[in-house]
Amino acid sequence: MKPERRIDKCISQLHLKTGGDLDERVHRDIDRALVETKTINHPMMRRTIMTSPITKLAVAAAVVLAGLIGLNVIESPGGGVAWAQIPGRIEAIDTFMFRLTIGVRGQQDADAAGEPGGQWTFYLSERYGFRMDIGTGEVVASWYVPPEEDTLTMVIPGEKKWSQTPLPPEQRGKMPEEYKDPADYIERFLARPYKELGRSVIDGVEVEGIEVTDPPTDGEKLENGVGRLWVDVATELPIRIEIEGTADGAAVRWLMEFKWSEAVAPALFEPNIPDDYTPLMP
Amino acid sequence: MYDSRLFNESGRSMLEDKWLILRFNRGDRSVLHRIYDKYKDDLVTLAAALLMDVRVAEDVVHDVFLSFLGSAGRFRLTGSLKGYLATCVANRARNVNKAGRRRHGAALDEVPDVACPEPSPEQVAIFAEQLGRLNAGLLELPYEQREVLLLRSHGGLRFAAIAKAQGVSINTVQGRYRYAIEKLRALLDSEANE
Repeated sequence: MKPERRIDKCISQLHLKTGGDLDERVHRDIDRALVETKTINHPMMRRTIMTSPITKLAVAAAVVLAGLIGLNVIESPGGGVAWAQIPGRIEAIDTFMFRLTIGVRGQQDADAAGEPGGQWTFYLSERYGFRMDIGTGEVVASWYVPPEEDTLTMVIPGEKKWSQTPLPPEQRGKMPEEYKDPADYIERFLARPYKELGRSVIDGVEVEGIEVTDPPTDGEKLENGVGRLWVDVATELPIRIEIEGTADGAAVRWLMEFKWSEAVAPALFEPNIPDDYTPLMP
Repeated sequence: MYDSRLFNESGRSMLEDKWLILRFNRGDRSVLHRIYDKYKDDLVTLAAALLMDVRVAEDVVHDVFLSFLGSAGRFRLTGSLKGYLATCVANRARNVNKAGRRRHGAALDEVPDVACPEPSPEQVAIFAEQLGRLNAGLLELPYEQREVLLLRSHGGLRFAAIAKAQGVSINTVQGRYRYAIEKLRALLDSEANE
């Protein structure tokens, strides 16, 4: 074994468990800060902005679109007539699934802070609540928020753990408004100059697509970005958005997939924690 | 092929961190419970190995989380959550070390043994025993070299990130690392030959 690795191994074997006193101090401080936040309870909601049912769905899409990819408010004249109606159709829908997959390949600077990618799946419904999964194929963790309860349930299958915590005060009962929804993103996507790609077939579904350059990324680094939106010809609802480009010498690809209405089963919104799972935190 | 690291444990941990960072960036301070539980041992170990004092190390970690708590929603975290926390701990520990040097005329890392002003609790004894094999070597290293070693092993930081944290060039950090490794290797070899 090389000396560096031998020394690194010795050092990495050092392990100290924190004392109960420190745990108590830190958790108490966090709880205290949360209580103070609750007291202040910033009136930061934008209820007036969103009046449609989609408002209450947008919890998660926000996580994806506002948080991971980030959405940029870019004012622009509208797109073509047929395509411009898509956001309105989305707003009329009660339940949907949104999956974001970020892929990175060919990263040349191995010393750069890595964002190797990942997959997030969101289920949103005014009737059934909110769920988010992370993990590709095998779900690493899922989060659930019932429609009428102010709790956040987290389930980690790999560790057979679960937790249930109150929603942050600023999100209770109004969590959805915190976030932007797919309609908003697609509206701005469509506002970019685009070219029509014609018809194709994705997963057996006949689709029609458009392509834009420099798709909205809200500050996420992306050079030579190209975005493609594919819409189900039958329903005129999006089923896929592909964004490709480069960042820090690496090829990046964001794939957003959608399912709408009855394609999303109500059972998906229930945690159904197995009996052998244990609480994550005391 | 696209990155497959998502399928291993570190990849899954990274995904959870993405969620935690996301929530934190949106002002949700309740995720700090999970962040603390996830990384507390690594951070206390890092601080204790830097300062050779478990009690002070715990205070350092506590301070870092207090600052973290106060900053929720005011800035955006990017990159590695563990690396960020480790850097915060290292920065705080460095200040503590400097303050100790100013007060006592000697840095904490110059104290010849695990420093603890009160009777050692069990955890201190355990850590001191673990540290025993490396204690002499680590104590002989200049603070900056020890910091490089520990930030790599317990903070998961790369040389570039350590260089940024220490405010020096990557070459300097790599030099510190090589020197520290060489010194520790010589010490461990001499122990083995005894």
